This record gives sequence, structure tokens and C-alpha cells, in this order.
Amino acid sequence: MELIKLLMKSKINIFLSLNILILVVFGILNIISGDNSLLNLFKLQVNDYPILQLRLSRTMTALFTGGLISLSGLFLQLIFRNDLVDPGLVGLTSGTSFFKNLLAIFLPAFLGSQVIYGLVGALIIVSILIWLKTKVISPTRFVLFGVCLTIFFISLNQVLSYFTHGQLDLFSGFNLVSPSVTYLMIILGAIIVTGLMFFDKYIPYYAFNDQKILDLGIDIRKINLYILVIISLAISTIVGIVGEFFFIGIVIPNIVKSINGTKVKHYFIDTFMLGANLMLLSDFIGRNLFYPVEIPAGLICSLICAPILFYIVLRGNYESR
Amino acid sequence: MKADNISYSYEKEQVIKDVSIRFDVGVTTLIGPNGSGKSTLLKILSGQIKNYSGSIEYDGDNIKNLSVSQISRLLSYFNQKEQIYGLISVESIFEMSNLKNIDYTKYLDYFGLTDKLKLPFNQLSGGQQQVILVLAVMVEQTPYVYLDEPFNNLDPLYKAKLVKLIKRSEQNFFIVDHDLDTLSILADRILLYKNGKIVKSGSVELLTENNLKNIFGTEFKIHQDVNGNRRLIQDF
Repeated sequence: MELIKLLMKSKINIFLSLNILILVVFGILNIISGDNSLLNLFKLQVNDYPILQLRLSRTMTALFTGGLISLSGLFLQLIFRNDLVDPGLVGLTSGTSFFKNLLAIFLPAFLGSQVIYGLVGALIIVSILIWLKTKVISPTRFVLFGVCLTIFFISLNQVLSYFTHGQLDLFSGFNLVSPSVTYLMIILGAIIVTGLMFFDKYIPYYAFNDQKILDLGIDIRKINLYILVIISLAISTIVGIVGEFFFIGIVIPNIVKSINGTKVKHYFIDTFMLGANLMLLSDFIGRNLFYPVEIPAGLICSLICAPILFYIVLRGNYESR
Repeated sequence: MKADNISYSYEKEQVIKDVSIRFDVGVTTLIGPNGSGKSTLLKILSGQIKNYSGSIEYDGDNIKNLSVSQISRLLSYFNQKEQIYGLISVESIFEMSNLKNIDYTKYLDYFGLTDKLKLPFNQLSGGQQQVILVLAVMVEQTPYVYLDEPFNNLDPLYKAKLVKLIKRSEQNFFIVDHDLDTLSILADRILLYKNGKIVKSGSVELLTENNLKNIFGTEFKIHQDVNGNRRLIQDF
């Protein structure tokens, strides 16, 4: 408790420093640790360059995946004024996945094609969400609507998998990520993060409702639209390259908001770093826990996030009026 | 500000019927019963509701032709029902509202709320939150200020200070409130409003026992205070 109070009072971002430390330590561990059980953690295989390269790409992909989903969750929560919104639970991830799979049946495949096909789905889902925002609907019902969308698209995906005889994995991991695709992830990831950084300065304004922000001279309708398009790109990048992830988009922003309190200017970087770290840790644990069986990072991540999510839902949120 | 022939319907019911208002300098107050559409009228005049018929002009420009940033420099709006989401400090609220870079701490000093500057907004009491939000609107320093029930929840001290602040300010206020006694001190112009229409408009002298009984359907007693001001007491 004292540590948390110290974190909340400090002027420099101690939380960020911790995150950087964890990232560096576990990033290196993830790359150099031998493909053995945790007992052989430091057995270096420096001669196996291709293996190191593979591990580097999966580490980079894990970092960007965790960071991008968490940032998407943060901005979705701000835009919809709802602490329980997550790209996975609002239909965005599953909808993107469905359209990616559907269009991939009929249209050609090339590097990045899955991202583009997924983007079509993401933009459709985002339009549905924008429409839903104009309706006066309680936050709980909004989340419920999102869950319905999620299950609907997961079901549609299941149907597709019967036709394509493909494997439907509910949880995704980083073991199938090749280095060439990693470059795509890094480039797109960098573009998305840069794009979202431009909107970092508007984060405090979401304390007001949209009309009040307009009153202050900021065209929040356009800003919301731009942010949602960038989030669509983020989710379609992740779904296209890796797969589907759930819960991390709710849990990370909520933890970051709890720790930072009113220090809103730290939200962006802390969310990205904590999300990246969680995904990295999940990949590390998934790879090493039951060697030689590799548990997908998404599964470990969901297992870690679910209890935290229970706690968040039960404690209520700041605007429980 | 000139509003001509404003009419507005909501769900097939005509809420506002051919209302025309001039509001230039000083404090104009709109007095009327609950549910008569006062808040709706305020939202229309401040540009939030757009599907009305009639025209609204600010200094000659039709409000429908003005951009978001032009409107933000022209008018500001307060409604006590507006929520604050998430954790935000009082200071952030003022920083975001400080469109003209003024020294807003003097407002806080006047209300004795200087020590609340760095605190999260949620930690303040309801009345303090209300005052902060009204002050944040005034900090925007727009020529026209719309206040929808600013005096709700305020204790007598805050009420007195807010009245003084509004009187001293050079901004032009359009206020809707139920605290008729406070409005009688504050108002330069009074608009009596009932059933979607402006029934009478004029100075404070409109606040007669008869007029108020017609508007609200309940009794009031008027008397003069030591300064010669017209004061109202509701006669239960």
C-alpha cells in the first residue's frame, strides 16, 4: 500500500520507470532463454541466429500487440465514457476477425491482405458503435450490446471454419509470427502509436461530455471519428497478424487510471507500456511454463486479466452516480 | 442576441411556440414552471439543439452559420445536470476552460476554494462541485453566458458570492432558475414563460403577486427590503 501511495504522489513517473525496467529485463529473457523449461532459463543459444531472430520478432510483436490493444481500450473507454469497454468485448475484435476470414475466402492473399480485409470489418463495427453512442443507453447495456456482437461474430467465425475446414482458435499466440510479418506489425504499430499520440492532448477533455467539449471550441465529433478509425487500424493489424485477444483492453487502462489518479498526462505512455509488458510476460510464461507444450500468450493474458476484471467490476467505478 | 419566432417540437408535441427574445446587456432571467421547456429553450439559444424553426442571431450572424470555434468564443453554457467522467483535478477543469488565459485563481480565492485546486473533482461536496463548474464556465470569458439552474445546491454564502460575481461581471447572462428571490436581485430583465410562450417581458417590476400566481399557480408575497429591492417570499 505504501508503495502504491508513493507511486501516486511522485512527480516523475515511477510507474513508467518500473515498466521500462520490466520490459528490458523480460524482453531480453524472452529472447535469450533457451527453449527449455524455466530451469534452463539462461542457457544461451547465441549460435542459433535464426532462432534468436524468431524470438526477437515474437517479442516485438508481443510488445506492440499488448500496447496497441491497451491504447485502443483506453481511447474506447474515454470516447464511450465507459470503464468496461474493451475492443474484444465490444465486438470489434471478433467482427474484424470474421470479415478477415470471410474476405480471405474470395479475395487474393498478399502481405498485409489480412489486415486490410479485417479493416473492412473493423470499420463496420466502429460505425455500429458510433450509431449506438447516439442512442441514450446505460453503460451496462452498452457493454451487453457489445458482448452480443462479440458472440455473434465468434459464432459466424465458427460457421466459416466449418466451410474452410480451418482451425478456430479462441486464444492467439505469437509462435506463428514470422519475421517478415513482424516488420509489417512494427511499421503499422509505429504509425498507429504516432497517430494516437496526436490525440493525447485531448484525453483530459473526455472528463466533460461531448457537448461541453464542443462548447470549449474543440470539434470532438471529428476527433472521435479519427481516433476510432485509428483504433480500427490497430485492431485489424493485430487480428490480421496475430489473432484475437480479450480483456487486456479493459484491465490495463483501468489499472493505469487507478495508479495515476488525476495525472492524466501519464495515461497514454503508462497504458502502452503496461499493456506491452503484460503481453510480453504472458508470452514468456506461456512459452516456458509447461515446456515443451506452448500455451498461447492470449490464453495466459486472459487468465491473468480475468481475476483483475472481476475486481474492477465489483468495486464499481468513479462515476457510479 | 436576437431570437425570432423560435418554435420547437419534440415527439410530436410543440414545446416552444413562437418565442422571440432580445438579450443584449446585463442579466436576463427566464422564469417559468417545471417542464415548460425552459432548459430546452436555453439549449436552442446556445446552439445545442439545431432542429428548431426560426432564427437566432448573435451580433448579426446567424448561429447556424458559425463554426464550432466561433460559437465557443461567443457563448458558454452551464447545466447542473452535466456529469464529470473519470478522475480529473479541479485545476484541469479550469485549465481546459481557460480559453483566454486569465488568472482564474482569483475566482477560487473569492470562494475560499483555493486549497481544492489540486484535488480530484469527485472529492468535493455537491455544492462545491456546482460552484466550480459555474466558475469554470465564467472563466471562459465569453460575452454571452447561459446558466441553467446555477443556484441549486448552493449554500447561502456561495449564493451570495455568486450573485456578487455575476453582478460585477461584464459578461451578459441569461439565467434560468427557480430561486426567484435571488433572481429578483440579479435580473436586469425578466421573461415570464409558460406553456412554450413568453407571457410577459420587462424589468423586475413584472414580479407582482398576480403575475407570479398566473405563471406558477401558487401564491407569493412581495415586499421591499431595506435597499428598496423587490423581494419575494413564497406563501405556502
